[in-house]
Amino acid sequence: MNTSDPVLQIEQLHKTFGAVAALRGIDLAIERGEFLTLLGPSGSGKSTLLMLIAGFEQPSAGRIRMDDQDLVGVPAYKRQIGVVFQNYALFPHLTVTENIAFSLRNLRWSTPAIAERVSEMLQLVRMEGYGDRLPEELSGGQQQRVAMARALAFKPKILLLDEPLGALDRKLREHMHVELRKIHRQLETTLVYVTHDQEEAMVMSDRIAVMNEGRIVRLDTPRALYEDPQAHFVAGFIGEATIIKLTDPSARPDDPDHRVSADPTGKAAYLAVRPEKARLGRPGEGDNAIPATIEETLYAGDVTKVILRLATGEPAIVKLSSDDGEMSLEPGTRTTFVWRREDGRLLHDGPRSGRDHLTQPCPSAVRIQACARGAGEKMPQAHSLLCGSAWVKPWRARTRTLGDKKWRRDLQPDEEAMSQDVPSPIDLRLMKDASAWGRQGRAAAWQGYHAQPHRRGSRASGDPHTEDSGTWIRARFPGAAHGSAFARSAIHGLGLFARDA
Amino acid sequence: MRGAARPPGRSRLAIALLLVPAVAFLVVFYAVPLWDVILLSVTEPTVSLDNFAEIAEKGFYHSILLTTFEISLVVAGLCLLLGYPTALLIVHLPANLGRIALLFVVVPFFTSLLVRNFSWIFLLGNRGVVNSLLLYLGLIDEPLALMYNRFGVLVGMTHVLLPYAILVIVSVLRTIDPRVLLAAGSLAAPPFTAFRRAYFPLSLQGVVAAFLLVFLISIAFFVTPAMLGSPKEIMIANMISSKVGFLEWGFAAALSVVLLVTSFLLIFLIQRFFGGLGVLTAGSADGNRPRRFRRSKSHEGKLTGALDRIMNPLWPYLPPIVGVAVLAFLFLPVLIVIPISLSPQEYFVFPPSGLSLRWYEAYFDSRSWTTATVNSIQVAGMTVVMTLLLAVPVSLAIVKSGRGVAAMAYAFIISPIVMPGIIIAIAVFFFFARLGLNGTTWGLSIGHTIGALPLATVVLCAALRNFDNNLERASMSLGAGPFATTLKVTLPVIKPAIFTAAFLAFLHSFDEILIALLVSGVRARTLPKKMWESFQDVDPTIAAVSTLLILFTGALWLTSYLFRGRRPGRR
Repeated sequence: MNTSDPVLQIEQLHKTFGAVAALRGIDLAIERGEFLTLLGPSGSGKSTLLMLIAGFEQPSAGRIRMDDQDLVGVPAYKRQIGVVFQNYALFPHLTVTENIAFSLRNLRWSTPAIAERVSEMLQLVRMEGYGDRLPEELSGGQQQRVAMARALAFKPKILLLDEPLGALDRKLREHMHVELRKIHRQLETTLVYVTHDQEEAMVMSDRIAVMNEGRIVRLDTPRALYEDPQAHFVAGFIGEATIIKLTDPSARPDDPDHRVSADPTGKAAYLAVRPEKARLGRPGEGDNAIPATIEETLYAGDVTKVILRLATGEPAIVKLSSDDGEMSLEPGTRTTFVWRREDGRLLHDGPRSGRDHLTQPCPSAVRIQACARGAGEKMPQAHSLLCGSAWVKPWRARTRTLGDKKWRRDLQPDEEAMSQDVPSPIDLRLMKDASAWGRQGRAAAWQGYHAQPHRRGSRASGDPHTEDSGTWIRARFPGAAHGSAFARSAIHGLGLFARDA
Repeated sequence: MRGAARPPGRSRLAIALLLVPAVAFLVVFYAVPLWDVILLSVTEPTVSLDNFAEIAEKGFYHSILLTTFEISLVVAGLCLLLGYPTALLIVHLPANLGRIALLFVVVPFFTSLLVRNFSWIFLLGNRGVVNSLLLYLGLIDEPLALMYNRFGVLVGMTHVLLPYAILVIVSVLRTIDPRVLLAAGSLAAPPFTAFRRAYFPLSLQGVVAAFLLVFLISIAFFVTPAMLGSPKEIMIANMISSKVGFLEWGFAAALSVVLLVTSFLLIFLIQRFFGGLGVLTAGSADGNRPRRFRRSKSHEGKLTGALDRIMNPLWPYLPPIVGVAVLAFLFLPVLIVIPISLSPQEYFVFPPSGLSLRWYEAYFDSRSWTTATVNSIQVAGMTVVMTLLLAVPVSLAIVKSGRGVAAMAYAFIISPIVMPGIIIAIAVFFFFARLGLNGTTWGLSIGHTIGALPLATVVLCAALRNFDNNLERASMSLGAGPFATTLKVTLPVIKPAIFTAAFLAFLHSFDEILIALLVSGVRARTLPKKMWESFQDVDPTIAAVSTLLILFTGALWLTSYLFRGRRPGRR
């Protein structure tokens, strides 16, 4: 794509549902006529993005422009964007013909023009002769074709497809891959395809936007994504990869059996090796090697997958052609994990880089945070035991009359805090600069924290006190408390806290 | 992907506009009149608590309250004991047989309440079917007293209320994975133990809901105690009605308040401790979520051990035997009116002495019968139209907006379901007395719409909740605006539910007796009222009317069923 002719431009798009940020600043330019796939695990925001493009939801912030027209605020039925849904959403009370003609009737096409277009579309999806059937009389694959035809009938500028092949079985899905590419080539429409199936994304797309936690992690061609993943998340999500931490002291470049060299310069700290680029056995000149033990051997017909445990403790995977049957692949066998130096790819981030959202403010909300540390320890905030955080919308924070329930709905603890146990007693940090909120505010926060029914057994010792790192309150739990309960109550307290400010 | 779970938004204004008609209707014709009843109870004849004092002081009223509770409790218990095994049988039969078995429940359920009570008069009377048969067989020398006593009332009420219990329990049992029984079996539990420990607890919400529903309807029961009971079986609703007849409005209102408070106290207590209301109001079995009960520890003891020992060998046979007996008990009495309507004699004689259509002629020749029939159809038709005009918009608003005001509106609109019918009837009666609407078909159909609206709303909301929001999204993406989408996609897709709602509204009105008794007067006399008036001297004309009613209901059901299932026209 050298000549850029974007049909759709998205700038700094945010979407929050209550306190949950589904999209955290999406920038994306969709080129005219391209097949773009949004790929990501469930909850990554890809479907939300699709809903925003289609106009079924309105963004919390940011811009969507189609051919210089601002789409924000334009209702879905005026956008001329076709959508194919995962469950097809064919109108069950209308025949195939009527389904396809639905948009044309809305656009007041003439009857002969409609008839012509419908038969054209039926031909395109090779469903001639099915026009009088009802959707329930069609197989899944046929329904899928009709859904395509219906969405394409009114010549939309963009066609959005939300996991359209998810309900089909594998064979049919593979067939539809070919079919979809063919239709795309024939019509030269812009396709935006949402899927969580990386294989599907690879075979069909011109470009793939890999999404995670509300962001586009990387946008590139399938080949570039696979061969040089760059990001930790991409390496793990697209295909398989062995990821080796380069700072490991046991990896010595001078030891022939146990050496890793890449350019450990800059910030790169991890190396990814695709399983088919690796092999087992003696390293040759210029090869990297780490001793390993075979844990499991999986025969998959064309290849044999071998799962290993490296001497560094990291898991590794190798795909061998099933023809090399001479090697012993019994679990427990000691061997060496070998790859050519140039096949290792540096990753520019750590394994948890997708989670840095805690430091990224959402435009329309203020973040408040609760942290805790072991009792009496003077830890800098970076080492706090756990954190819960919440987004509070400023206009809510100013409303004094809101009931507690409203607050709780808008406050969400950080997931990580939910999975840890809390020692008792514990110091709870309310806010870095709580003194600014006044003594009354602190008291209210503490009451809110204390009023939680499931925390009734806990006790405060002493008043909140302020030190350099913030305002702390010491809490005692009857037993070891679970992080989730803690985070909930802390955040509830903070909600009241913010309200009184 | 929270976005996917949310229905396409509608503006607040649109939601408000959709909510207003139904809510306003119920406020004017239901909430305000109810408030009037409460006021009346302390202002008539004087502003004092005299009415309540009288209820509290007189032993006569104590015994009526006691009778009411006694009968209701026994009936609710019977309905559970008989209904649960039947529901089990229906759920676990192969699909086709299960559907037929369910028909044996549904047919009596949709048959007119009066018809069913008349059936029991024909069956249990001194010269009724049972006594005639027993006399003919020489098993007894003189007729047994089966009617105009407690026995008759219990049989009649159980017959009327069993279908409610069975349908509620079936809807809950359907949500339980039957494989839990297999799993329990594989874990060394014999049949009954498996049922008791693995299956029954999952169905508890349904049992509570069924009990609550039956009990609530029972304590406000009116028809059966009057038709099949003696003065000893007078229940509170009968008392209220007769006090209205004696123009002691204040006292009737006070009795209504007592009934109202009792009902709601009961609902509150049961909901508080067991839950179960969700099953009734969710419109589907979504409300059935297993609750953690306080006694979460295993309570296997001597008692349950003994129970298991007795029940385990019997258990495989129990549901089929009880179930088949119950289905026969439900279905056969409904049909008894058919041979009676065709007999030439005044009274049932065994063996029948021939066929005659004289009772049908009597019906068609009588002006009062045919006028009543026409009135009934007219009132029911008006009720259907009003109900749909109110229920369709309000259901759309409730489901689309989901929480806040709409949720409150839903609770308000379905509240007449748990409101004792007699209270709605006298509230409407007092209110209409002021407006001069008593004795008009308008008044009647407004009264009937109060009860039909919640039924229709529950059905429509359930259908809309199952409605695939992507259909609306698809329609929007294809260029149809919100209004066009509702008209071209949403309503056509839920058409079966609209027909079901219309059917229920029609039947509700067609079968309604309490409001008809108080409000209709002479001019707007409906069929149930006419039947009611003639129960003192039962003659087989009633049987002929009943037969026609059964056929009519059947035809109505079939029509709505065909409409539901009909393929849309192909162009």
